Amino acid sequence: MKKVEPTGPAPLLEVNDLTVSFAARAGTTTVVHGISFSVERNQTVGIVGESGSGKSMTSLAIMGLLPAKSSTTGGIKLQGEEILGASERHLRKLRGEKMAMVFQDPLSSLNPYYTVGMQIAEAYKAHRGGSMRAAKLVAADAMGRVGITDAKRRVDHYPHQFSGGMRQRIMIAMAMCCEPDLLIADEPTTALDVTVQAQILELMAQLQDESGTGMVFITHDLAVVSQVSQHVLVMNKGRVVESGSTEEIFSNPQDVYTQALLDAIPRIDDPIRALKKVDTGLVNDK
Amino acid sequence: MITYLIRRVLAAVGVLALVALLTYWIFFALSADPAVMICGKTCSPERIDQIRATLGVDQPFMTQFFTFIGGIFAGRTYGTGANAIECAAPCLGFSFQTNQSVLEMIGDRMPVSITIAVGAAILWLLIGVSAGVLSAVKQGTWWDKAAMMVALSGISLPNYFIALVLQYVLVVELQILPFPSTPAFGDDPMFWFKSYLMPWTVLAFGYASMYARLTRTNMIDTLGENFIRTARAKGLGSGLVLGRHALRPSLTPIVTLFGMDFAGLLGGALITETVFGLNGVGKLTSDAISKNDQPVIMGVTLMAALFVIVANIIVDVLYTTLDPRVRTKVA
Amino acid sequence: MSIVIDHLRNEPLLEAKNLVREFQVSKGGAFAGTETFRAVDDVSLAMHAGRTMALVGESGSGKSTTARMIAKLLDVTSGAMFFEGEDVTKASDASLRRFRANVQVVFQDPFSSLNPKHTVDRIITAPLDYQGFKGVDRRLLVKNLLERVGLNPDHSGRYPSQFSGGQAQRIGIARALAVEPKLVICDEAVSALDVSVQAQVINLLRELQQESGYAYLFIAHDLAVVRQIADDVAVMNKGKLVEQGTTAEVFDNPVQAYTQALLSAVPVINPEWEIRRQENMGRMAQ
Repeated sequence: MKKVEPTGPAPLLEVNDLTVSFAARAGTTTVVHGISFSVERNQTVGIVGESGSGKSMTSLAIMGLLPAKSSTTGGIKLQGEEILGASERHLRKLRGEKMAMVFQDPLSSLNPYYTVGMQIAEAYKAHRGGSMRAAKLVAADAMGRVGITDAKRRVDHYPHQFSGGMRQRIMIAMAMCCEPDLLIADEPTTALDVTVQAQILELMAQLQDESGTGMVFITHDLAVVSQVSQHVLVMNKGRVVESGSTEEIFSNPQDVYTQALLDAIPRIDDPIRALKKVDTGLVNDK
Repeated sequence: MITYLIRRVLAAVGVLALVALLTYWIFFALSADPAVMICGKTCSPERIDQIRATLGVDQPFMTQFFTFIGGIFAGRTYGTGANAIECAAPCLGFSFQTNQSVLEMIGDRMPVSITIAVGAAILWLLIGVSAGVLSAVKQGTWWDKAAMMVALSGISLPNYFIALVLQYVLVVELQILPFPSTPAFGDDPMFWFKSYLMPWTVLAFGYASMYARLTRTNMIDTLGENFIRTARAKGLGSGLVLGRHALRPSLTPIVTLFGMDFAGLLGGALITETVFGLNGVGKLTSDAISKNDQPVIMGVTLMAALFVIVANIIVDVLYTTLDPRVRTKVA
Repeated sequence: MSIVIDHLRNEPLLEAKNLVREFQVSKGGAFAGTETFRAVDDVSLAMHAGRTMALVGESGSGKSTTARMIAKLLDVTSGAMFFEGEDVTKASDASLRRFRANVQVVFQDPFSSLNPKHTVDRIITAPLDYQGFKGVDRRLLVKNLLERVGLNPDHSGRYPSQFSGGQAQRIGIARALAVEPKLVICDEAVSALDVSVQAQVINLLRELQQESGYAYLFIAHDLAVVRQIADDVAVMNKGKLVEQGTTAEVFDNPVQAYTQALLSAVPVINPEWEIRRQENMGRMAQ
């Protein structure tokens, strides 16, 4: 298990009382209610929750990629610097360079009209400058590092020419090409087959070991989050109902919702137990 | 690629043959006797028979049709002896009303139709696409609403109405533009431009409206795609996000549409040419219809079909270079 | 009821023998010709009343194609199918109609498989018309079905969009049960649902089976879910049946390397944490 070593006074990412709401016809809808957490270098914080829990909105808020009609309050500090409400121009410099993101569906997240090499290269070029040709060499290198064989040839291929797992490797190569301090992974393995998921999780752990990147790992899968993160936040309906070390959350959950979730998941290693109903009054299916 | 092209060209020839057969059947077998039309009021039965023999319409339908097709490849001769009329290959028929070969008539009018089509196409592509892109980017603003309102009127107002209003305002009242005509470019480029400006505008208005709405819809769809979010997450500027990532997927379907529309216009802008009295293929067609000049109608129809079919092939081939997913499958 | 089931267990309800399905696919490149792709290659399965057969595999394994052939939504290239001993491979008209009443499907996405413009009432009774059911008290039938799947019978006049995902899937199940089928094919029927809702739907499927002795063919990629619900498991890979047996046999003692790799790739929560959690929960309950 990795040790959490704070580097300097300020944490890598500090989210403080973050609230996200959308203006709707009948007043405003709040999708994230005052959540707070922090991420250190080389640490993975897992955010787990069901659909509508607000976990993805949290990640988009950090990246500054929420739709224009949303409003955000609270604070988001990246390496001590407040970035919530920063200008689009400034945020653009941070995105890809200091913080990067990997999304759920790698096929739709890549532009079908351009080669994967070009799409990685433009991310590098946007921050480091230089020629497209030089950036393409970096791209080939990045693809090699995420385990794509024959990367020099495959930079010139299009997204549809790769398998699902390879596409997600490309997304990771793109996110990691500027060596960001913070990586946000939003359900990065949900669309993948289970054997491919195992490979991708291993790759992400290996890259983190090499680079010391801090990671926010968002998922609905409790088993996955228990394996990848040192610290877990459980979200339900926009609120963090419980947070703590992964071991604490999974061995001694305090909140009824967390307890109900852990009772509800089917376990491959435990066939006898009947699945208990989640009837805490907090669940969507009412 | 080569086998694909050969297949497409063969299919195109088949379609053209079918179009030819159908039009021939409709105009020659079902409508009034062309010999009576040509002969006029003072006419004897012998004279009619003579004309029929010259035209070849005394023959059975299939014989007539194959004579016509044969004329396209080898040329044909109408009548015999001193009055015989030579129609060299490719012979699209001969108009006895104007005493000209149909190909020659179309050839004479083609430059005007091409000028109108090219000018209008440039206008509508520039205006339609940029208005659509702007509307999509500024979705919901007053600009978007105003542009889409104008576009809606452009789609719903008939061409000839716009033509007459513009002509009244710009030519008759304000006298900014001359009456539309078809002068040669070399004589006075400025006059040439002014003379064509109104037909271009009228024709382009409807198309630009359609293209603006289509571009806007495509662009809004594309802007909602996940890869746009990825592009922003990489830290790309809005110029690159829009110009590189959003524009290309939005415009690719428009290429197909443009190919068809442009090819259709090369077959004559019927209404615009007729309203302004410009001697293009469209005017030729409407004149031929009103005088029931069947060989001309036949020729123009075949020509228009040829343009559309050729454009179809070009667009399909072009599409394979524009969309990598069509070009290559999983490696 | 269980005596009847035991009696029937030796006779398969539906037996699929050596199913093969081929597709013509483009050879790559827009202008190349096509070649034959064998999506399902020599698959034999037997389904029994009162039992659940799970068909598992990763994307492209051919499990969904197999399910569609068994539901007779797709023709077989070769092979044979027997329903209660009768050859239904080339069934048409009357016998196909009888087959469709006996074999129903519950699909993955409840919302896209329910007509949004029809009321629940109409959705549930529509199969009765297709199957030529006459003289049924429809009001009573709809009421009973909704009660059986755990929905409020007073909601029969509502539209699918007025229900949550879990509720919509219950409507899909009610529709499948309306014609009193003997075999229900669940094609990834719980995959799109949140964990807590998923548990409820799995429990519902189990209860219905205990009440009425349905045979289930359960298509799934989630092996933990399969372990909870299946009596028998068939593992597919690249169109072929790799391994088949009872759930305990396949999960506890996988013979084939592919099955072993598949099972070991499934992420699990640290079993020690789970034991401690059970202890803590027990202490809390006291």
